[in-house]
Amino acid sequence: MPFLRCAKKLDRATAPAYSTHTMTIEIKNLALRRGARWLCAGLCLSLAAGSTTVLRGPNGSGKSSFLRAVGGFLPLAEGQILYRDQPLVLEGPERGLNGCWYSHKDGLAAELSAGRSLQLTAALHGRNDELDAVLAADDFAIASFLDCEIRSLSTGQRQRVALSVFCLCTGPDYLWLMDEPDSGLDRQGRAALEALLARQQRAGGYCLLASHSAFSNSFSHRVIDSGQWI
Amino acid sequence: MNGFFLYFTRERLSANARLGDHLAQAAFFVMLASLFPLTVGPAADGLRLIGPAVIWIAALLSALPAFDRLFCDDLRSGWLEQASLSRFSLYSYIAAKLVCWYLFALLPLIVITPLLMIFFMMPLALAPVFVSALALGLGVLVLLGSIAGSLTLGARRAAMLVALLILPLAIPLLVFGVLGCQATVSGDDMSTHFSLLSAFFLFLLVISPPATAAGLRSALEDG
Repeated sequence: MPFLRCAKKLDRATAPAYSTHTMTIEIKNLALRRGARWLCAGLCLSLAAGSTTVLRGPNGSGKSSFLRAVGGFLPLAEGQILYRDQPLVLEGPERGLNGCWYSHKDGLAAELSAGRSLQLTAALHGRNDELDAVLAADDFAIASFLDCEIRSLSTGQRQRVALSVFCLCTGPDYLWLMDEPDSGLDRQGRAALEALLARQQRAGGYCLLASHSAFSNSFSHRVIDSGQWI
Repeated sequence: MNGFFLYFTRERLSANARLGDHLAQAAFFVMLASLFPLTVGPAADGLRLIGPAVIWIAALLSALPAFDRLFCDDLRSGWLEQASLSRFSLYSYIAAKLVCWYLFALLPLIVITPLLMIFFMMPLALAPVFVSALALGLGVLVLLGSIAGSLTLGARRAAMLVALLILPLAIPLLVFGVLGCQATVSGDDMSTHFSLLSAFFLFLLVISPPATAAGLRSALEDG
């Protein structure tokens, strides 16, 4: 069973033992809080390679915080996130997986052109060589505004540029953490996003995303309701 | 591609696009320092006496208020998240940021210092000493500013907080810098003061990057 809620007051010694499959990210007995507010407690979840998990739930139910915790930004109040039986590290030379982060704060440089900004983000992931192929395929239809400054682009256009980075980063070494990647996209953009998610799945990569809208069945995904965490 | 080089490229390109902001800072420096000869009067002895102190304080005051912007844009745009999830260490990001900030925001202040020495009737023969002392001093300042900038990330009125955090810590920097420059003007031995300034720089070179990284990580918690 991929997702189950443990009893709230389990300590590490009594936590149920899971078969730690080597290619699975195991989230064990996780508790998160923001200040005095608990967002979730005793959360157990496993993310298998080639699986897509969609978090859905009302505003403030802790979707973004959960993503931030998996990304290593938000410290865990309790519990562990394991990959290959080691705490998951996404940062620096000793990382276990490459983390790819998407949120409405897209990390593009406002003063630079879209193409240049994309190039820099691709270099950050060490995927500059594949950039030409991605630009040629142009899944997100960004060719027409590659020379424009990022600050002159609309929200949806910026989003397409930021999502194009993910085209470079498919495969079992990549964990995608996406916070509402579909919020500003039009119908074609959404279709491109779904195709991209399907590609990551076929490539055996990991994907965890938060979204308010339903995805089509063009790729298999499971939906977790973050409204029931507490 | 090397992490430092990648981050530096991005910083350089962004800073180039915002060159006006940095040059305005240098213009403020010149104007602030030139108020003193205008108000104190043209007596060469008096000017020469206050000159080093005024130049150092003016450099400090014109460089300080900008430090709240050091990491602010990157937090707001989400680049900080990208950088901290990348294959490179966060330290290469911090190093590139500080080197670039030094080159774009502080180097103009250093370059323009000989002009201010003329305002204060100081012999230009002393310019190399002055310029290198100020270069070292602003190196110290950028390391202090990096800690303060990361700690105040996301705070309201960050500029004022940064100034309040840095000013007390910058007192040794000012004391040794100004004493050294005054010793140069009066022809005394200035090596003690500059050695202490260098020691302060090396000390900060060790503690500033981890402190900055900790500040950045805590800013990332809130997103």
